[in-house]
Amino acid sequence: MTQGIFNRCENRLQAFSLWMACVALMLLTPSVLCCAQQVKELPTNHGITGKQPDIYWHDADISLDLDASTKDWSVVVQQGTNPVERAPLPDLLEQVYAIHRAAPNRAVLLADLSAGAKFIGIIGTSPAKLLDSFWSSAGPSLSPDNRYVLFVRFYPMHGADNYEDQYRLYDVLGTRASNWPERPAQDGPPTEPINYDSTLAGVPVYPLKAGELGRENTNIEDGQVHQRASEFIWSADSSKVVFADVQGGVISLVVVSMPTAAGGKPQTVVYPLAGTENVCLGTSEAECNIFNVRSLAWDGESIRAALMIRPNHAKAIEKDLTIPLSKFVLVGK
Amino acid sequence: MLFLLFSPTFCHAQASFVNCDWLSDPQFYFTGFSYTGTQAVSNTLVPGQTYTVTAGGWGVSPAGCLYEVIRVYNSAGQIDPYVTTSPVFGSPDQPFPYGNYVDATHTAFTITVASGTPDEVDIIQLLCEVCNSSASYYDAQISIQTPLPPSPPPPPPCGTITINPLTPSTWTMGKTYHVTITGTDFVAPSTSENPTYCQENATRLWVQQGGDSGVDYGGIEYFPDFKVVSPTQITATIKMDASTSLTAGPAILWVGNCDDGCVTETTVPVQIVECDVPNITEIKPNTWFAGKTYGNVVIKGSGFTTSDKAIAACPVTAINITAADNGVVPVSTVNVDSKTKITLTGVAPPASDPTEAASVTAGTAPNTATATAQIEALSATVTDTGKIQDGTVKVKLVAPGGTAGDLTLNLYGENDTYTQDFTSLSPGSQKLDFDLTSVPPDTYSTADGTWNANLSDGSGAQSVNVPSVTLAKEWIYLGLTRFSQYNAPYESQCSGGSQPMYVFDRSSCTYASGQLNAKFISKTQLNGTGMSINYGLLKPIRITNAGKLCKGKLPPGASSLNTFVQVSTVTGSCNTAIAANHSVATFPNPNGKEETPLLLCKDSLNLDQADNTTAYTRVVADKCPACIDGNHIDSFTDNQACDAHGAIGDLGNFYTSTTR
Repeated sequence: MTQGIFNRCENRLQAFSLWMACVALMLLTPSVLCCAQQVKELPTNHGITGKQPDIYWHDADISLDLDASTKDWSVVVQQGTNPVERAPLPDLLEQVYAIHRAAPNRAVLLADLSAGAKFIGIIGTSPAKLLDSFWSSAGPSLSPDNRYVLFVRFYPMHGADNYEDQYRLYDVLGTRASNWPERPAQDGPPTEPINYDSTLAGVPVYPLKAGELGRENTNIEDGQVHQRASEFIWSADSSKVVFADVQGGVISLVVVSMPTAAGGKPQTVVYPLAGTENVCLGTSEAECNIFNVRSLAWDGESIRAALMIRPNHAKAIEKDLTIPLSKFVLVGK
Repeated sequence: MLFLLFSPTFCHAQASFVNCDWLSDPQFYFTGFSYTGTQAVSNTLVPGQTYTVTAGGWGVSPAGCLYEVIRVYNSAGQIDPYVTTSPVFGSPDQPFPYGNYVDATHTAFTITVASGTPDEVDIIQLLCEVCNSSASYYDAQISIQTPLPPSPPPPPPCGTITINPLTPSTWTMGKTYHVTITGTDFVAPSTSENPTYCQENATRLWVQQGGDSGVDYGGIEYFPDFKVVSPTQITATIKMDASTSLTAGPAILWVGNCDDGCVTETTVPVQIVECDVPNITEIKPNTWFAGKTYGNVVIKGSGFTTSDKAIAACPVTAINITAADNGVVPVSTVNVDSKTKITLTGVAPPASDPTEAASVTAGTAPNTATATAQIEALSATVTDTGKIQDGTVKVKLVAPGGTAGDLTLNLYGENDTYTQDFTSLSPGSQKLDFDLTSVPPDTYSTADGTWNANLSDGSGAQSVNVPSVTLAKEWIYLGLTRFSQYNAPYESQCSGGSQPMYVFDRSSCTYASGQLNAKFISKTQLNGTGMSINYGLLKPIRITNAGKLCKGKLPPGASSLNTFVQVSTVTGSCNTAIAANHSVATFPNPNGKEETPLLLCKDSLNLDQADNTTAYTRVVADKCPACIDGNHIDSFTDNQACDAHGAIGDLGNFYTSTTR
């Protein structure tokens, strides 16, 4: 638990001060939460141990605790003086690794499914209920304010050829309808096969445009495949997220701006690394991938990219670029 | 003569003053000649000379001759044309053809012997003829002889040869000596066509045993290989090799100027000795480490010369140790303990010596014996990289016992060089484990290093190079890698209700409507394959080519999530069957279709614990898109579980590598 607390602290000094304060307060009033926010989650590179670790989110208003003590997992919601409620979870989850509160009455649960797929559950806290859920093949990445989830559209994790990473954005504060524009309002009669594509949660931000919702993300033609080439890096204010995508031997930096008004759509701009900035120049198309991007970072209205030129069987060379957003081009134009 | 006696002309001319009546029996006498001339010797006359011939006196009885003639006959009885006489007496118009008229009062004549007169014996005749043609004469014999040329001056006398004391004067059997002999009156053989007597008697060398030395004749040895450099110096090569007939003992070196015999000669004594011939049978120890000093090396054998037996020509047995690459191996002391044992101290092959043979030579040429010892350079060699997939190599450290030192090994990768120290390693074969927790991920192909070996004898540390070695195979080290697991869930293991589904037969493009367990459906969608109860092995249609293959034949409402395709085997992107607890999926796609992956289809992975032991092995057979998060591989398990909640946990985190 302590480790989880420290994970949220800004620095060690702050963490140490917080720990000292906690110790003092707990000695006096053990029942009082000493800190405004306590989180226990698993690190990014966590594995699946077979024994679910404790996962929770505690803040001044609410406690969200995973209860995996029985075969029916749930999130235990304790909000103020309200009665404890439980939001049952589907039994496909292998391991829950994070719970984040997104709004007074909304939380996000992130879990591992089998074969590396991820589960994103949207939990209503009052009443406690799993409002929506979807799978992701990579990511997902929560915005710092926990409102948005940027993720890679699900595809079966094994057995296909030419998987394509199609990036979608889910607004945790939105409704199921607003986040599943292509999904029928109802799941269909239980006696008939489900005929909607459950992989189409959220709205597409890249590379699909509005008119390409039906594009498959498996068995894509050679050379047409988009693949993620970096982590998702959010701006501190959660208004934008940047990542790298590679297609056909060209890496592009993609910036998705969150909707600025209710009902608005995210906006995607792209900056292909071409010419002297093409770190894949001189290598085969196949050798251009995530390993050419060391890191991305926000620098005001610019993106700082640490890129790698990787000559075949030679030492990689780092190439640093700072690209203002003004050079990005709106996708679709 | 008859002609003279009966010639009328001759008689008529003389009749005027001779009374022939009483000349019936003249008595002529002559007392002989004496000769005077430049080169007259007795009665021998030399051509080209004129001689005065003086008669002692002559007379006729009765007195008076018709005429008197002097003439010279040659050995053929003819007037010698080369010899003339004078003075001529008588009528010039009545020359006497056979001589010159002379007057009986003449007692002195000149005789001229013409040059070129052949040597012969002539007769000078004085004739007195009376009227009745009787005559009386006197003959004297002379020799005409061309004198011999003057004899050359007698040669100067040849010198008397001497030599100075010889160095060395003791010769050892088997040796060859190049000596310089000094002395006087040495004579070099002449190249002249007419050598002088002394030159004909050029200087020779030989050694004799016995005879003049007072001993029985033991032998005589000529030494042809010498040169008279000057009358006072000779250089000679004395070969006392096996071909010599000389034997140990006193001998005499002869130096003489000789041809058939010797004009002059001298001697100097020499002593011929025969030293013991050493033989080496054992050197102990016979392996020496470079840089180490050996205090006691024993050489055993025979024929060693101890100090009490040594003479100048047969000194104490010396020991020389040489190595091919580094020259002389120093030795502090050599003690010839006995005829069969030598003890060396301080045998110190330099630290810079490579591993090589050292020649141990006992004795002095030509009586030497050589045996071989082995110098072992301290070495550190990577001998086996066959287990590099475990981060393990074997090295062989060669050094004297008691040596210890830190070994530094370098692993060279495409991007990094990893260096690790292994402390206090002793000689011998060592199995060394790289610290898998520290080795950076890279593709390693070569290794080298240094062993800082400290010898126990206090001679200091030696930096021993570990030669570069190419790994048996390239070691592609991934570092600590998470191995998640996935399975093909079995519907029979799934709890809960079912859902309607389409199951498609790709071979006939037909489908069946049926029910599948809802959890099985989800798990099969997630994992890509599932084993149904009624339809066998199923795959979601979206990851097959059935949608394209059977386009237009899908049932109404069929979608990527509600339709499955029957398959016979679980295959991965490597287009090979996926085997449980054997196959793994990696990122990037190992089939190289999308990218050039670090891991390729069929690569065998070694999953190691931190202690360099192999926990599992796996083979790359599929792509794992989710593994893009780095250091993550998905392993296919035979676990048939359908439930979640960690029923299929990670295989674990392992230090993973492959070799290629």
